[in-house]
Amino acid sequence: MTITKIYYYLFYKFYKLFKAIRLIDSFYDSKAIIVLMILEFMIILSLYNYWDVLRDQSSVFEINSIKFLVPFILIVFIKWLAFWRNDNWKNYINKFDEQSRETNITGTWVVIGMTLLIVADFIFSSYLNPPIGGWR
Amino acid sequence: MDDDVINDGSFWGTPDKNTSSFTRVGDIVETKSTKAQQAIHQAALDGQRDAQALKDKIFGEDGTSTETNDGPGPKDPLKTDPPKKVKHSKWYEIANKINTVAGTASWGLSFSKITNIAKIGKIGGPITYFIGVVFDYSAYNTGKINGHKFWTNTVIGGVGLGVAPISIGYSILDNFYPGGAAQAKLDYARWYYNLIDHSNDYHGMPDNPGIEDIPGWNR
Repeated sequence: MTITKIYYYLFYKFYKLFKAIRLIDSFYDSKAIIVLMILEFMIILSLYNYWDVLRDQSSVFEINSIKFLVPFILIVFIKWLAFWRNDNWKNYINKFDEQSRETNITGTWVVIGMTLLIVADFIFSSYLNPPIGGWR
Repeated sequence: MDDDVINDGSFWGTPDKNTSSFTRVGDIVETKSTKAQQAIHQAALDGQRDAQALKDKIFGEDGTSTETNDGPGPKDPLKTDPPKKVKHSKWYEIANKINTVAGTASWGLSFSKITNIAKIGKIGGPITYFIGVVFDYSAYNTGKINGHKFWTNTVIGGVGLGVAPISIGYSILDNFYPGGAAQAKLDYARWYYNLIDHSNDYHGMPDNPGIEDIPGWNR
């Protein structure tokens, strides 16, 4: 399991999720990419919050700052490498479909655990370093 | 009706007067046919073969009939002739030309622009959504909106990835109602409070107005 395969498996699980609950028969890959982007963004924001807690300071997150632009370019570049440059992700989806059912069920629980961990990490970091309007 | 394509090349058959059905040469013969029907069909085949031979003997083999023949000899009765060319009306020809031009133009466009536009939409959709979430977080972090608003927007936006109408309805309410979704909620509570009868309500102690317990009532 290389890091590339793990990344594509995360994408694959969200792809199958949006395919299962679809109302419109399209856009599964775009929705899964959105979820991946937001999860990566949550990791980066929680790192910012922990950094503020460790330095005992409180900084703000602006759009036109280097705190946003560098992770944004990085995230979009990873998406371009993985999904938009070619259609290689379709081969990965076919390959993961051929796996056994038990393997995919285990993978589903791993992906659910990772997602909940990332979201809980972001909420906890927002609780530790609350914004001006309160963390909730 | 000169626009209709008339195919009378294989029209050789005999009416069956007993069953009032009609056996046509070239049709697929059903397996559960009676002996009489099979005899009628065989007679039709023979009749067509004889008639074709007579036709070739009298008129000679013209272009339309020789195309389907593989060689000399009697014509295969199960082979149908191609439809004859029919002279169409003027408007039919004009519409056909317009259709051809439109098809060619769309074919050319599909190779030049449309695929690129679809690709841009495929990339721009997630980036636009992502920047919207980032704007929301920035407003949350700088204190322009409170945490309740941020989490509501984020969760409903996430639900909208799966079930789009919920998110669309919330975003229309939040963007176009004066005061946003929170004020809409308060106004609905006020409207519903005034709708029902409160003459028999118990408000606890007499000096407790009760009505001020609704947040935003005195705004």
